Amino acid sequence: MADTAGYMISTTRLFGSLNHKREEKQQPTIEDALLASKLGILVAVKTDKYANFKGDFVELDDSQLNELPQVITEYFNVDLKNEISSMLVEPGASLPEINATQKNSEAKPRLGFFKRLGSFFKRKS
Amino acid sequence: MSKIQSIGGQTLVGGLNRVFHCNHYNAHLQMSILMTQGLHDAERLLVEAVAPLIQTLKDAGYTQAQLIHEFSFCGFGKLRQETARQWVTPHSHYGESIYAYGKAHKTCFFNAGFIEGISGKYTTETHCQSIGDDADRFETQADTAANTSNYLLHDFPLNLRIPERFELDVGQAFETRVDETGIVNTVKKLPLYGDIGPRGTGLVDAFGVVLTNHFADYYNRVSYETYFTMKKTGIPIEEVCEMFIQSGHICAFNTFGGIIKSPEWHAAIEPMCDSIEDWIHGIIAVINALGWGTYRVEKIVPEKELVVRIYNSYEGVGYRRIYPKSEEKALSFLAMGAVLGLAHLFWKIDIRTKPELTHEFYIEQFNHQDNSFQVEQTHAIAAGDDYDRIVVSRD
Repeated sequence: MADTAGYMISTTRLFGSLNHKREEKQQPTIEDALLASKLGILVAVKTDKYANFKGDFVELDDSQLNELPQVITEYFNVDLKNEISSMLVEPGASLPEINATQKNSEAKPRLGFFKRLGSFFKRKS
Repeated sequence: MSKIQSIGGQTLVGGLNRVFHCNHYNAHLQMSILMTQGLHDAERLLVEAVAPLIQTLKDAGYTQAQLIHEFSFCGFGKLRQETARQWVTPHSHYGESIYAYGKAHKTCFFNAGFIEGISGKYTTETHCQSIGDDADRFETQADTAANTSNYLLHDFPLNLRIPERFELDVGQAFETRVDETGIVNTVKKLPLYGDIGPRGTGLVDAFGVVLTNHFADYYNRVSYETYFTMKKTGIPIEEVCEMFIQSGHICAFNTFGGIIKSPEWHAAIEPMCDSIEDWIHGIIAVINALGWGTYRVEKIVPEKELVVRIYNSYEGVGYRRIYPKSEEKALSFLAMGAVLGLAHLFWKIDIRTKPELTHEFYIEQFNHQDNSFQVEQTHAIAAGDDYDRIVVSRD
């Protein structure tokens, strides 16, 4: 498959699953903003290509998608390989609506996350 | 051990600036650095940022016994040489007081670097309390020399012409009963050092956190080397900055929050505080005893804006001792996170009500996106300004 393929994953579902698994292992949950920031950096470190996890969906190519479960296992100590497969929206498919039912299907979506993962760092223009 | 000197807001021991930092800051900073393993050798960076500093102390006349004493005094734990090549830390800040979100792994890079500096030999950690071992153990390699090349390449004098509090050229007029000099002197007399005795752990438990009186240059070296590496890789600069600022923000929550909730604050500082601005002046006075530089409040607009200048900021001065003058301003990551954290402590959660400072409270309240402030660095010693200037505001 070409490396430019654009798989989409709902970040709300991804972070919800990650924290749900951490809770199951009695590990502290991690806020979505921090997860988004760290995952973006970790994927870039592994693939030399930055992926923005701060939106509702993250777009990943083959190499980034391949690394994602591994960095999650290594840096957040949970295995999400199967869950990530089920979250994927294949290239060319239309994006699903993230409705309230889906959001609530994952354990405890973090407060205030949706559309509000802004940065607190302000650069002087 | 050398005499402790306080100059321009910095605390010098053996000629090296020392700064108090908590286990939360140390944990998050180390996690951030280790995230970049693969881009560069982050693990070795964490070791090799220490060894040259120990070599500097040796050059200044420190003996091995004095260095081991200082390891405990500064809150790093208990360090002992067992055989010619084997060392152990039965208690250590990095082995038992920090944490990681990822898979359990060895965490005592700092300890290994300290031993490298003492022994002059390449050192690896073989056992670690963070993975369930009874102690952190280290082995030196007899035939491999440690890299102790000094990275403090530039002379950069401290600024000794620091304006008095509330006497900035464009500063706001403040009135307060908060006695900064008294607070600084009081904090400096607190027993914030590790117990060195035979039964002591060499750790510093205070204000609900575990403190170290750490090497400022260590923080600067590991942070800036990682920052430059990440920038080169093409990771957006906002992301890189935010990663480092976040460590300072967590530090503010835990350490400043812990200080404000402490009996010492209640007894000595709270009685001087009439308004929320006084509480800000109080915690700024405490900060001025931490070795971070001299913080001067320039402006307070309640609920909206906090502007702080920092003379001799350890990040700014440290940057100039390692690197040439920068073209960038936003480089004092700890200061940005700390001042942002101050605004959040007072105007987002109101620390005066003394809430429980739990992990959940951090996520759901303190670091929540709602009512958050933004932070900007407008002036930087690293870029040639006389001071760092941090502006925290919200619309």
